[in-house]
Amino acid sequence: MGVVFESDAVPGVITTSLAKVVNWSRKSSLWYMLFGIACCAIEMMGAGAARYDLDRFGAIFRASPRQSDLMIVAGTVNEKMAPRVRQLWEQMSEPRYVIAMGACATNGGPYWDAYNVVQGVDKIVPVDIYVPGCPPRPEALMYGILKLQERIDKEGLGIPQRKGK
Amino acid sequence: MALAEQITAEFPSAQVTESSYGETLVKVAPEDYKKFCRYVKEGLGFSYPSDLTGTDRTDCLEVVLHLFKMEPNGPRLTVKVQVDRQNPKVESVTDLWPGVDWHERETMDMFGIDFEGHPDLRRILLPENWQGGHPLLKDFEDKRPERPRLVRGDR
Amino acid sequence: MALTQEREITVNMGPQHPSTHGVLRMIVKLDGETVVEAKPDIGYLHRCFEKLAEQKTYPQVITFTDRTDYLSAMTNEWAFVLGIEKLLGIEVPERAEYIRVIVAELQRIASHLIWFGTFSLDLGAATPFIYAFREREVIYDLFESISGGRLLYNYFRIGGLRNDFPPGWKEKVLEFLEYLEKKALPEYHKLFTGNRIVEVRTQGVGVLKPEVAIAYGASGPVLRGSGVDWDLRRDVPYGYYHKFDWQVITEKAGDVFARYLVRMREVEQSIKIVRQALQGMPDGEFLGKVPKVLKPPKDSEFYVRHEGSRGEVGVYLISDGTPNPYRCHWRSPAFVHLQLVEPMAIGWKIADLVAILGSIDIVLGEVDR
Repeated sequence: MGVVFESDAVPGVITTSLAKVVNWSRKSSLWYMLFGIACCAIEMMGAGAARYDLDRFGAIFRASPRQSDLMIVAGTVNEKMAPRVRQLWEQMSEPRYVIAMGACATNGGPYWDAYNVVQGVDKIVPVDIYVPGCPPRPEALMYGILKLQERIDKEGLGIPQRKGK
Repeated sequence: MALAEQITAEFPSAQVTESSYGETLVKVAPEDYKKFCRYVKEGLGFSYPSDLTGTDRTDCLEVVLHLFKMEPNGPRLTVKVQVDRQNPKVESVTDLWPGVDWHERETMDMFGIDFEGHPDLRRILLPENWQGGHPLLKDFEDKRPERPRLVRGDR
Repeated sequence: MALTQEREITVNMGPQHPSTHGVLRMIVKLDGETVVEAKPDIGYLHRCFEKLAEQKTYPQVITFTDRTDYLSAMTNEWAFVLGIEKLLGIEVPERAEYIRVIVAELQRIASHLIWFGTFSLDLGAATPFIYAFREREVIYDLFESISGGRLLYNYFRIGGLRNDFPPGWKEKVLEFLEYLEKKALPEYHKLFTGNRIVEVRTQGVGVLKPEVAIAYGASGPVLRGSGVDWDLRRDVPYGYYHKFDWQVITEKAGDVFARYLVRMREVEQSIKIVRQALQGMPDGEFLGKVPKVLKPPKDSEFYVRHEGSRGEVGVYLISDGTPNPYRCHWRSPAFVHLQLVEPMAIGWKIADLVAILGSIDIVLGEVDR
């Protein structure tokens, strides 16, 4: 993967680019915020608990937005919740990532035409990965996290500035 | 004495019907509502407030109260009171059953019915700054503007 | 210099708070660490179930009832389906009634298990959470093999069920019950029940008097934890519960620990019911004769009372003769129980407030609907 082992040089020294090391460490410790909204939160808990064990991917939950890199929006966002979601996202430090877990967070899901429901969390905060399902299985969430890791791997240094996609 | 007879003896103006599902439905006038509830609780012993909600009957609004006794297979009593749609107002029964507190707040939130004498009548489910009216009314319209989708870099 | 501070401080818990079980916000006034006032602020998960139900046909609403209380989807579906069956006078085949009891009781076990896990997290113990989820995953697997869904099933149909058991399901359930009863439950009790820290943090905390509980309309384990012998499965019977030999569990103390014990002992009763139901289950149809388009008579209405995992679920249905309900109201136990937090918590420390909040077992999806 571009890491060069120089056998002639001092043993135990690896040379690589700074960006690779930074990306590697970012993707391997994706701490997500303990922030469940609705049904999907239970599957998110399931993903973190005994059988699925999300810790294997370096993703463990933190209770505070200031300590977390990833916000998994697990559930329906409504008009009363929307400002709070935005505020939590603003409290996170860069680089920060957002996964919209489930149909509700993606586009409103079964509640899309309800009077109080925001049609997807991407109207409130920019989303990196969408995980479909109602609710998605823990495997689906894990796949989403792996996809996010792939994406982080291709990033440069500094704050990622992606436009469109 | 059957429940329906007891009620008509005490409140001749109340309309009492027995539904085929074993419920006793009582329609009372708004001015009798509080007095009737007090009688039902203290005189007839309906101590368990299961539910209080509203219905939009398009020509009027209806407050529906489901009451039960704590006895196996006990009687089922449904109290209904119809209020004016333009100026919906009814007395609060929170002092009789403290458990209907939030139900009354919810009914106010969803239908705009004013419960007089309620200790803390605020919106409960919708945001405090909600401007869209009372959503469970049949003529409610969702007038929220469409939101654009945000992508990274937009802020 | 005055060392005492007389000013009360207001602490805002939530909506993002690890121990509020979802998106509940508590506005707590504290005198030092003692709770003076605790006002819950809800509505962060209000998803307009009642309005949406008016726009859907009756079978379509079943999907949404799953999502009101997502930890107890099967019992919710049953509550709603019961209401329409009453309105239409539909007979449910015997086999379907048995299967309904089985899945509802398995769901109750699953719901109590997740409560046990999250409640112990509230008290600061992380291990029981992992243990409870280990057992819960097995129930998920069982439900997945009959309905296709892990969490939300849409398994109940008006007049019966969507499908029968797959072959070998019965044996798997029996095996799981054996494991739960002989291995998992004793393990929980060893881990939690006699634990000194748990006892100190729960016994005598947040006492709820029976007369207060009734006046507020409490139900389920919260009511039974206060010593009121009341269970809708026995007292306002529905389904086939009267055919089985089981007990209503009550505890006298009315504190957090009593509510914990009621739930754990209810799991044992549910195991008993499921075993008997599996044994006595007849062969036959799983779906009764149901008209293609469901139109309950005009102006008919019914209020169903159903014992969900958390307490009395009430469904109020009004029909106007069309395939859509004219009004569908959902009375949820957690909505009622949340009112009890303030009377229970006043005078206790803020750490006890977390224990009290955990002990009433709220699901915000059901509180806000």
